[in-house]
Amino acid sequence: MSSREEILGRLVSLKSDTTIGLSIRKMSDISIPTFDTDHIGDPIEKFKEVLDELHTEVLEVNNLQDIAAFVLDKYSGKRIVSAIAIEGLGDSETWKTLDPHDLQDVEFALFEGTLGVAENGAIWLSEAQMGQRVAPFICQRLGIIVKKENVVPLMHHAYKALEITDMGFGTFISGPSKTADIEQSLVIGAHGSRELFVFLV
Amino acid sequence: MKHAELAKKLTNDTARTDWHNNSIWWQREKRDKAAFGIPDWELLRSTGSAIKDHVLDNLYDLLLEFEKNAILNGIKVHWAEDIVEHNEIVHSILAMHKVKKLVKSKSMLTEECGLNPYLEKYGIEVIDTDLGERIIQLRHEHPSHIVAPAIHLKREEISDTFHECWGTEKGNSDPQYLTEAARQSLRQDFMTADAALTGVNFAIAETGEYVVCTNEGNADMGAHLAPVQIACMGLEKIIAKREQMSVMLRLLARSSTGQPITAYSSHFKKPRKGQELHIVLVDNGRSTHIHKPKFRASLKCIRCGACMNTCPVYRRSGGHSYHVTVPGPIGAILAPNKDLKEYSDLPFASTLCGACSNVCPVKINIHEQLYDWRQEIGMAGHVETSKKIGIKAMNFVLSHPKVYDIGSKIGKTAISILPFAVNNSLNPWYKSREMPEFPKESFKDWYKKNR
Amino acid sequence: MGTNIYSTPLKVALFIPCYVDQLYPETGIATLQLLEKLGCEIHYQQNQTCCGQPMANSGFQHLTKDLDQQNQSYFEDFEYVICPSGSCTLHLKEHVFEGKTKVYELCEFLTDVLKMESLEAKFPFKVGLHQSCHGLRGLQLAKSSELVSDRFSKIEPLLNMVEGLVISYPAKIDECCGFGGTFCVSEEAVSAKMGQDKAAEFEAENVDVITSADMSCLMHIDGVLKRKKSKIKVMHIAEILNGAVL
Repeated sequence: MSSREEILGRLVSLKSDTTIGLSIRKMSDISIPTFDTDHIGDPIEKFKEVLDELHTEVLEVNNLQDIAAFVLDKYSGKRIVSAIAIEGLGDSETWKTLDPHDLQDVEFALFEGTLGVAENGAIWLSEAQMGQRVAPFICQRLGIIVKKENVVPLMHHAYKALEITDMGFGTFISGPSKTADIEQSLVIGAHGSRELFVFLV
Repeated sequence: MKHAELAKKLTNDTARTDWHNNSIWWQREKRDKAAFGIPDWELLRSTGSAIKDHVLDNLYDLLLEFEKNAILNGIKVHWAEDIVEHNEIVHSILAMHKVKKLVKSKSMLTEECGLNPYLEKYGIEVIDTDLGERIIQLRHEHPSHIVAPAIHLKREEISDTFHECWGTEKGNSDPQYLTEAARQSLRQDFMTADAALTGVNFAIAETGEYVVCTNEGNADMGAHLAPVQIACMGLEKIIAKREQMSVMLRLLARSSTGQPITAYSSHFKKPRKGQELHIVLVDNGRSTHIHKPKFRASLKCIRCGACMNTCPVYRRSGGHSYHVTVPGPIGAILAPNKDLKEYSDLPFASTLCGACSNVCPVKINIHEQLYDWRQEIGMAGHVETSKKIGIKAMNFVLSHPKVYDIGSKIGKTAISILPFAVNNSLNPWYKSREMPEFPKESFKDWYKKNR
Repeated sequence: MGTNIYSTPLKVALFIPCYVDQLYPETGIATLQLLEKLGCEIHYQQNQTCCGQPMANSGFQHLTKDLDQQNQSYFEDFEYVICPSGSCTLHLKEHVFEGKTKVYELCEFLTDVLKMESLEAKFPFKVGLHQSCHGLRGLQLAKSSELVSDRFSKIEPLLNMVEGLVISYPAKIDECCGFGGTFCVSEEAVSAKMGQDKAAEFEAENVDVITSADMSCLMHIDGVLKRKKSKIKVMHIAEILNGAVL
């Protein structure tokens, strides 16, 4: 018998074990209640407030050109990649098919996220939006565009809204990378991006 | 050596104990701030608890569903009975790909399996990429906390280690400086790794995907660069539906460090183009533990560490005093399942105060299980003889009212029934505390005279 | 004296913890006198000894069958069993009486059954309140700090009825004192440290007296205080409510 068979063999009896005594058996017994959203208030304001606490710079912009101007102003001369085509930010396709290691010198990377979650500042990025998986992690500074109308109050709303059928990888990003492993002292910038800019349109 | 003795390594240094205690209490305070920010936090806990209860009842079906969907996604699924098989499976995957260097993000399971030394025997370089894990790896230590492995270390000690290993500036213990040094060093490791290994926070049966949560981004830096990726998980890390992730992610980081969510919550569903993605499902006693009605609930654990942070005993004795991979209150109820005798001291390393159960995001009844494990240990004969003799004497006096009364008259009952009498060696009570004074008459005497 | 909402004397049985009987009889006496003042008819079964917790917590609940049966028989005829100890009450409730006999910790009884609203007692001192764990989390005598729910206490209002009394909480408002039964000797180092930290927190509040619903916690804290020659006294809440003087 393979290990798989051995393990499953030990677990199958759970299905009919009445001595276990837990009453939750069926999927239908579990439902996610409607959780409080009053404490969130206006989702966009809360989203901005939380991101600010999470050492993220939030910029409200009117259009993509404003974003390009901001990025070029700070990082021209350094390697910039963008997952969406914006005039001035260069090619938005070729870098997506490079070997991931070839992105190690990217200073700034820009993406458009699917949605933002007000309660924790999290932004969902799917693989398609990332171009390639390593991109939002390997860059020194990260920028994500979020449409205001896509900011939801809680994680429950986020998961309801996310399509996952074709997805190969996706992530919630909340703030820049960080660590407090040295004497609980918070340091921003661990192995992922050192900074996060969120462009709210 | 058992917990009480090992604890002295910390308690003998009062200043260090206070520092350790306060550092970890601060985690509890941050957790409180986060939890109190959600008006229906207790409803969230109840929901998380119900989700995990359902998993325990339906683990058989959920594992099969997960496997089926994971395979459809292109993930190679392996099953490991125990520590040995887990290590062999991981090694065989690495050997097949001639892996020389493996980068590894946090996985308490691989710590449980002793994976690093196993692979190193075969000449594979293993780099722990979580900063806390990397620090203790360089120091040849074990983690003392499941979320903050290096919480027992002072910055000067870490500075010395980095100076020795990486040539950082001697005496520079600024956390920012040290973290930057680690970033640079580990970035090189990410760039040159042949394979990446991660833990699993949650595996979703409905979709065959799994979620890895980090603040540092180290799991992702490893996984998205390496051509081979392996995820290792305990069987119980499954949840049934994707929508349930919303509950778990709201609970996890708040309970753990007081953050609303970790910086990254990465959902792995399919291998990257050109990459091989493996997942190893590990049993190692879980499929027997799940059959124990009084103790199975400990398998609901989502490894947040909240119980440790609140535990007044853990904070003053430190993770190493539990001499087991996962320490603290949750460790004390998981370990006896593996070896009742070896870990017979752990359920007694507690006053049964109950704070742990109150902070557990999935409402594991930790303090009740500690009590129940004590009964198992008592019945199995693993309580120290001196204590057993003392308890039996106490029980005799208390079960025989006449013996109690006679002893009371000659001052012997008090001594025989009080904690000071249980241990035969020089009364430990007196080491740090004055003895209570003996009154002239007992309550019973007074009652007889006055009523 | 305080109000009793019942017109006929309430018949209650007293459960006196073993260490209260042997070491702190004044706690038992105060409990009895207080309940009598409040119009209760006290019954004290003199053969009682102990609730069985010390053995059970040490892993020997399987040896306490005789003791458990005795306790069940002594108290089965009473509607109200009152015990001036949160931990003993909890043990009786969860492991001995099996739901057949209702047992109340003293403050619980005064609040939930007698519904006390006033008290004739004076204690013009700063009183540190130690919230013993079993009473707090096991019997829900107050909201514990971990839970996100409305604040309440069955002990605070009683102390606030005492003239001149000022309540003070330690910095860690409900951290365990470290007694834990046999834990206090089998894990002496950690137990002592917990007691020392608790005592220090109360000293920082400049309290005159430390009180609690559990004399075992107070015995442990008192041991620490006396070792450092502190002037702070300990006193079970029954004594304060019964009109004790310092």
